[in-house]
Amino acid sequence: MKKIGIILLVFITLSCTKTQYDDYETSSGNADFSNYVAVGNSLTQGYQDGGMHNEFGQQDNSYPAIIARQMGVNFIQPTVPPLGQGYMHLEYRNGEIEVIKAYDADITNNDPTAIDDDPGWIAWGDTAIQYNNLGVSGIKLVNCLSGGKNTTINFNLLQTALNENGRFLNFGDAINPITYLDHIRRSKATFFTCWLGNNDVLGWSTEGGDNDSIESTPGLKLTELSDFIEFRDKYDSVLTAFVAMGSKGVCATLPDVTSIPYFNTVTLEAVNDDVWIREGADTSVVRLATENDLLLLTASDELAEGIGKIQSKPLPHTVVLDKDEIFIVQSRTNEINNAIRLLASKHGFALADMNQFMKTLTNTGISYDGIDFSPDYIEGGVFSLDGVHPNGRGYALIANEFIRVINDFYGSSIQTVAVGNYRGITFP
Amino acid sequence: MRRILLLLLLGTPAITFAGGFQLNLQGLKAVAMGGAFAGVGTDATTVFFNPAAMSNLHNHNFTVGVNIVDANVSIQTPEVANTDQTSGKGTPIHFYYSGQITDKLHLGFLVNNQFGSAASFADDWQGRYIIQNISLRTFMFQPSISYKLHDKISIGAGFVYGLGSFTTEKAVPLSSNTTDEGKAHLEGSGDGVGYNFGIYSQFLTLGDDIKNTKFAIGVDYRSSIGIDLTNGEATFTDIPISLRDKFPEKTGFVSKITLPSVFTIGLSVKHTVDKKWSLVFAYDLNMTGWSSYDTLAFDFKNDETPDSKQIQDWENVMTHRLGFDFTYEEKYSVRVGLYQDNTPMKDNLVSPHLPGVTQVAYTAGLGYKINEKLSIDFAYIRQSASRDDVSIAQFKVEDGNYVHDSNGNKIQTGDFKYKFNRKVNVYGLALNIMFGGAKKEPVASVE
Repeated sequence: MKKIGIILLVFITLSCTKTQYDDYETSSGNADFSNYVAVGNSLTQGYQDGGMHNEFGQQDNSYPAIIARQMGVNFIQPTVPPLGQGYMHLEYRNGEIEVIKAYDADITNNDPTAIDDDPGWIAWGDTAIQYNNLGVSGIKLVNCLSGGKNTTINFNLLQTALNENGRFLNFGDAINPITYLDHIRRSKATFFTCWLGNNDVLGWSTEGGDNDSIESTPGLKLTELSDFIEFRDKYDSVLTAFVAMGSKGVCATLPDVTSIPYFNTVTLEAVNDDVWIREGADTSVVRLATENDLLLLTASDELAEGIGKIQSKPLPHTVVLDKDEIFIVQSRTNEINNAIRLLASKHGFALADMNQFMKTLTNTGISYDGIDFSPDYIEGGVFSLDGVHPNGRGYALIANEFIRVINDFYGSSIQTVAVGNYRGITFP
Repeated sequence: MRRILLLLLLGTPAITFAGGFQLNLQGLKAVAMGGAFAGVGTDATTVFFNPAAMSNLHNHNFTVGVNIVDANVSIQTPEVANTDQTSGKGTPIHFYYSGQITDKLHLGFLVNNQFGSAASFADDWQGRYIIQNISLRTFMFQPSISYKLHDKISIGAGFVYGLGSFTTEKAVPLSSNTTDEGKAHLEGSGDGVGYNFGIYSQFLTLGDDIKNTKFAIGVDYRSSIGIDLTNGEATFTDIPISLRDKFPEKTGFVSKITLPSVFTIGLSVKHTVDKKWSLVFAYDLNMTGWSSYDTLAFDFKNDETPDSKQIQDWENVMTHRLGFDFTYEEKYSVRVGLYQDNTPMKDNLVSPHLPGVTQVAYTAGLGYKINEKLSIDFAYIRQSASRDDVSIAQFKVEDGNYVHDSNGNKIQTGDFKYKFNRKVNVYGLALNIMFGGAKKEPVASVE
């Protein structure tokens, strides 16, 4: 018996049961992440649910903030107060889930639960700090520097008076403007991500193909589709600025805006009725909508009031992207993306093909950590309530896409993130 | 925007078991010999391995045993360097009785845990939407009979009554202002019946009474057993109020788990030199019918709750088992063995909770015969496996069925990629007792 006991003991001692893996070590490959600077628009700033806010760490988990955390570098964002500028949310009433718009001071029939901006929002925006996240919601690439169709005066007006999301940057005044490109040059970035250009095609589309002219300022068209040549030349200027400071980085292409839920939720199938529409800004054609036209998310308000149900009261063209307008915006997006690909390659930067990523999401859906994602409004799990911007999980998916591209191109080793740990839709 | 119809699925991926949910621990002589026993049959455990070989045994034989299964599994994903499974140790038991009624007729009975699996992970682990924890327990009860047709051939059969209980949990990816995610807990139990039969033949003896070599063959078949979970109960917690219709606090479900059939051919060769020593060589080939386990579906009683259907698509597998027993003076035994364990799971269906892998496991054991009536067996199994390239493909699913593209292929939407390290130690102890007129001759040398 003793012998048996001894032999058994030997067995137990020999049977090492360590199975653990060592921790990951992050490395930067042939890039230098010490001063990572993100340039871009609302997607880069961390905008979702129709407003900048940070109640559940929404801005803290912007895709550049996620990337920087995974790089292990310091990254300063112009953090907004929790409720930020107010945002959309969901309420559960009479057995149905309702989307509640953010509080709007200009109207009188706000929902009692509408979320207004945070008391701290007015004071937000310290221009003395050098931020790493230079994302400004609403900014177009063609407005990053003066010249072209947009005059210097118009540019300054856009950035200061009309865009509260850019208040953390000093854009100077009408006489001595400081451009977005100037801020890029001052950043001394060692590494950058550049996802500019979405608003050059998006704003026009979300206005139903309208230029949204400001009457008080002749020539200033807020949502005009950007001119391709102007876009290409100015994008080149931005990349040239990064080359000049010796920075490495990644450029990103633009997703096809017509595949986002903003254009695919109010469908004829969902309305289940004939819908009368007015065609684009330049025509007076009133006709029935077909499956080739896209009704905007905002059309649901008009439809609820009976507009669009009869021929004499068609939906206004600003809530419809008709089939010709779809073609125009898709063509321009393709032109711009080709330019982004060529310029990134010319300057030796990596390319994150977000257009392709969105295509995959649209065509097959994406599964991550056992969660299924699609571009469907709310139930798809990627987009926030505004139907244009991703939610927390959508931004985490985007961060992972950038990380993969950075690792591939620069031989670095940055870990992707567990998407399931980020916040999706907040249900009532 | 007033009305939104949400079509949130409970989650397509996987409530899956692993290759390891068959417990090959049903007798410790066998365990120590790589699991090869269908052609050996020298103690009451043969009620399980091959009831026909009960004919070898004299008098009333009892075996009672327990195993401690200590599995250590770590998983690495591209995002998380290390996640350990937190499952506790498993302790499957077995009890066997074989009684000689006449020279030719034996009756037997068994209670054991032939199938079982348990795995759990920390609450915040990355794959919690795929699996948080899972456990299956089964108890089998089997009355058996054997009859000696001829000096060299006996047959046996048994009726199997199986009890099964099943629990699983996974996270539901829905948040509210006050909760980060929901949880689904499914629990059910049920029973089913099956049968088994075997043939045993000691067909050749070379040598004389003092020094001889005996050859035996055994064939055994155990049927599949469908365990119907008719009274399943699903509990959903931390679900946003607006989605309570779909995920109520409690709802019933029905499901069915099919335990696979096993067909075995076993050979043994025993060389005996007087009463001094003997050496046994044994080989078994198992064919396990895992393909019967093709779908694990949960049909919820609450109409709004989306039913969950998981297509397992497992394959039948063959297992080779090889073992040796050296016994000195009919008292001290040393046993060693090995087996090649093949996973029934196709690569893209490998589940993270108990990863499947084709591997060789090594076994060893000791036996000590205290007196003619009492003996004890120890057994030990060591499995060590790792893989660097596992990925669970995820496919587009609608209404619980895969969506196919125009070429008829499933549409892949993602991969859950991981590496794993698994080290398993199994320690077993069993007691064999014989009652009723102990005879001097060793039990296995009946001719």
